[in-house]
Amino acid sequence: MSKVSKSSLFGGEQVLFLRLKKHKDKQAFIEAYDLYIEQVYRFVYFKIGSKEDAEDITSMVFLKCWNYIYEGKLESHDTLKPLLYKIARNTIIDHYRQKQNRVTVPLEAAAETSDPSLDVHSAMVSNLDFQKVVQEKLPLLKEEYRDVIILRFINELSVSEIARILGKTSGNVRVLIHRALQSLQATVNQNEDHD
Amino acid sequence: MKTMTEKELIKNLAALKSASINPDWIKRNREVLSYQIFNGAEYADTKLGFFERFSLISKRVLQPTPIAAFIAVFLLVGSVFASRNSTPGEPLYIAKAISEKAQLVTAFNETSKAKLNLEFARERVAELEKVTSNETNSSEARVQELSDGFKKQIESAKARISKIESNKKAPVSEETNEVVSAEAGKADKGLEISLPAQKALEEAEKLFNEKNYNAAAEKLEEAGKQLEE
Repeated sequence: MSKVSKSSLFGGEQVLFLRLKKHKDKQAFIEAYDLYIEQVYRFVYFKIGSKEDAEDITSMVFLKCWNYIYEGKLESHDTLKPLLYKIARNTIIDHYRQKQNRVTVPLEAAAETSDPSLDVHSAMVSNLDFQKVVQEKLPLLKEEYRDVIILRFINELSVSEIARILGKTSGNVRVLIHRALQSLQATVNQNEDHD
Repeated sequence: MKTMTEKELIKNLAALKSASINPDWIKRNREVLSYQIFNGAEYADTKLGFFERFSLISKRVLQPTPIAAFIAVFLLVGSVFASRNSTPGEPLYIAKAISEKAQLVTAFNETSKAKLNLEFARERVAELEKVTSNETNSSEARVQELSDGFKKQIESAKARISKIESNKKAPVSEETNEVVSAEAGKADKGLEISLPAQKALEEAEKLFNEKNYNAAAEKLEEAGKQLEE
């Protein structure tokens, strides 16, 4: 993505943030889309477990983010990445509320029935068995644990970035990550023991 | 299958990152997003109209202004009324001085201003009587201040009366002979008015210097009446 690399050359995320905050630069937002689309989609997908819903929600996240910037609500303490994740989390919550009566396909079921053309899924199932197990067990974790597992170990965000997204202190996030990892490990190993 | 260690777990989680997303969808969605933000249809509702903006401005900025102005006017009028009977040395005397200056500035013509000078000169006489009758409040500095104030008002009144006289004397010219003759009666009348007024003023000044304040005040009143006529 040439636009991302061009943006990185001139100061990357900070320059994008300033262009968006001061000038509400539309082109800068498209560059931000190129920069963050994959990680936002991944976050949503691993939370939702449905390709179609993940696509819809991710589209909505970027549009909501643009409206937020356009209305001049972008504060100096909000860099773009944490803002996108915050909006993504809220949009997922809204999605669950709206679709309460709709039958959703859990992530593990999606793994069995999903479209083989979906690259993210095919990449997962073609990997080691451990990965498949992790993928299946992730939806069984508490919401908060799942958030930190995806943000820290899949999307590789820093502790301070996660703290800003979740509205917690860095210390609290470290504890949360530790407990989430223990919980996932216990769930995965429990499954292995039964096997 | 063997038990997964924490390290292996983290490694497998990180491997999930390598899974790529459908590039066609990313491209399609990019086009849709570009269309949405460049056309601006989605945020049209968030734009405020002129009256909404005006209403917000009036609530935040304009609303406190009339209240502050009302309070300022209320305080000013109140202090001017309260200062009417004040004498030098009292806190409200400054309001009285400001009020007198304001009246002089806003007076319409020289006659009105001269009348105001006479009125203020009478005020100084009244204040002087009040100050000298009150032993505790009496001081040489205050008496001197009031005397100077009186003389200043008299001088101003004299100057204004002279100005009125000079304005009423029509210029002598062959070309404007008709005008001169038309104005001649009025000029004479002006002279008739101002001369007794000036005489009364001089008498008032003399009485004031003799510390005959009541008589001085009466003469000032007389001078004022001459001006009114």
